[in-house]
Amino acid sequence: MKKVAIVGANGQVGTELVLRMTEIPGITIVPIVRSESGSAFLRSHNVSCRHGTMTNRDEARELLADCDTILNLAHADSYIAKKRAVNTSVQLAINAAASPNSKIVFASTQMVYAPELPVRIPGTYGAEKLILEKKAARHARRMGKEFFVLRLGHVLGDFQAITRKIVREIESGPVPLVHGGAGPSNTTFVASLADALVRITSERVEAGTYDLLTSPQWSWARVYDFYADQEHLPLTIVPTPGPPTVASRMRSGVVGFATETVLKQRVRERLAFAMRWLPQGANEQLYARYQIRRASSEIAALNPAPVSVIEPWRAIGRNPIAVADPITSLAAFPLSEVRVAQSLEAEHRELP
Amino acid sequence: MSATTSPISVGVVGAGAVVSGVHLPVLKSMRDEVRVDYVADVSEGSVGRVGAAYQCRSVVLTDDVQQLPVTDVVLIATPVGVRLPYYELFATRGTAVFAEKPAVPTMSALSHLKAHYQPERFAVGFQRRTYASSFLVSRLISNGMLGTLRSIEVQEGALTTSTGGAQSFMTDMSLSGGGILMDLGCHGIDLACRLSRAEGSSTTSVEGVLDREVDREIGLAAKLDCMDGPVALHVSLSWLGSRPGTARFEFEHGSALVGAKPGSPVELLTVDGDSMGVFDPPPGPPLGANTVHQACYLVWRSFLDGLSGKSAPELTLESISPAVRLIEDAYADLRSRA
Repeated sequence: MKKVAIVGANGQVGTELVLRMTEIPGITIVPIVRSESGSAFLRSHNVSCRHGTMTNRDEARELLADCDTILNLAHADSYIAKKRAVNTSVQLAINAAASPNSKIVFASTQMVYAPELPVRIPGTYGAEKLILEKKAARHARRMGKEFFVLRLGHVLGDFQAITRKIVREIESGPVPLVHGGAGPSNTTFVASLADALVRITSERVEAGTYDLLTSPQWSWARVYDFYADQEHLPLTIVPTPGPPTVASRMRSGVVGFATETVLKQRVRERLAFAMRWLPQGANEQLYARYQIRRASSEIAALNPAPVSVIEPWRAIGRNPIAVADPITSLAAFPLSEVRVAQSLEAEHRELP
Repeated sequence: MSATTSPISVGVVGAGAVVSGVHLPVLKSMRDEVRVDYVADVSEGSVGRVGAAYQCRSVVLTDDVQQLPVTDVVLIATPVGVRLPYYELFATRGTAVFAEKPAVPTMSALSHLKAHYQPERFAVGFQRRTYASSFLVSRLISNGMLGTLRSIEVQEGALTTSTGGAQSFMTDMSLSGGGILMDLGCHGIDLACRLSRAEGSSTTSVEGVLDREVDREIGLAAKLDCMDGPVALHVSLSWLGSRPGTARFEFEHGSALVGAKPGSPVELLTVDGDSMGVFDPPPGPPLGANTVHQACYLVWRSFLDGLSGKSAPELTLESISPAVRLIEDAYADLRSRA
């Protein structure tokens, strides 16, 4: 019997993965969760869990020593450096605690390829996973352990948020999809992750970095079609035009293209990401300052200040004609009282 | 309380995520009238980090509660099970208290506090009361647009939960005082009692899933005694399955559906459940909070205005008693059958 440990088994993917792997012949699934609060759902389905903290190396060894394969699904997302650092320390603790013949699997993401951005530099999540992939692989190599990276696409499955969103869209009527959903979806299923884990555990799969996507690659139309079929719902796809190509945007103006590209590269998000390399105190102070500014502006929005309709212009005009001051001019050129009265009285009259 | 116009000094007991992510940014934004003097916590690491980030003194909590500096006001945001010594200390000192929810687990604890604090000197931070959507529902109830309020259905919870760390106090009943009903359910129950202007409450039935002592799933039916007659309350909470995260207010001629998050629209439905569209707020400044920081500010605003006598206190111990009674009765019923 091979033991497969799932670290972070109480997450969205972990929960479904564990429930899909409980009855595989020759495999015992070992969900690992930090606390009983986290494991309640799995335990309510009669799945026994191990509890402990991976950042404590002794505890990690106790939890993982008898496992043949260890998949790490744990991930903390935060701008606080200390919280992000947990991701590294958990993976390195797993590498250290794994027995010499075990296989270590790190769950990474297709976001390392920055598929959604015009310039292929990954965003915060992708960059962090990429850095950790490299660091953990080097660490495992030094320790002489087999290390696998699985770069997951959008994960589909019964418990997955994206699946619920797709089903809701199908239920609510015609679904607009770019080019009718003909493009690749870059999706995978939790069941495929289970399949990959079983193969890594039971077969001779060479250690290395792999992409985990539907095979053959499904289009978005195929994904929607699959769920429409599964839920017995009618599906109508409305094709929409895709975003403009790089070439067409170049033609539309280099400055506009550059601005759009920079905006799409999420400059602010990247700067925030860069904060993680600041000393911890500075990082947390900056984050606190951001939180205070945000709170201040939200509080101010409760009592919005009146907005002036006058735009502040600097003094302009270079060659003024000599006239009297406005008070004198107004007195010198009054509106005829008779004409004003007439214009207010008569709604319909013949003009001269 | 300081007699001058100098800022009110605030001490903060507890340095968890709600304090560092919500209360401190809001209190620091109110710097003309509030000065945060210290943050205290049992965890030296946490309190040191939070104190440094928000540039205020950090104090490590020990059994000697007297070590806490004297301030005008104190925010207590520790687990409910360890609050009694602090409540007693601040009552003796005459310090006004703002307590994060749930302030107390039982009616006897509530009575004890009421005997020691004037109404305006103890506030409970039920922030949902300040949501813009709550004011809209309150208008629907008072203007009778959909007729008389008949029942309220609260459904909240998620399939999986974050662990809250290996040392999460949620697994220790002596600290948390309860599971999902105490931690999450108290929000919806308090709001239902508040909006219906319930003067009393009684449990009709309760079912649940207990994980050792911790309730992970609850189905609660209750009767709220209101001026216009009884209102039925149904509460469904789960950490073992998904719930929509909504409160549905059923009237004679239709219902109003509102999300649990600030900024949620109020959707009006016919008696048959068909949508009649969104109940728009009137033009002008927001009726209430549309973000978490706004909600936190409004509860502090209400507390400070109550303290200074500018307005009647609204977040009083008395105002939470129908919710506390329901929660206590539900736990007693559930545990007697466990």
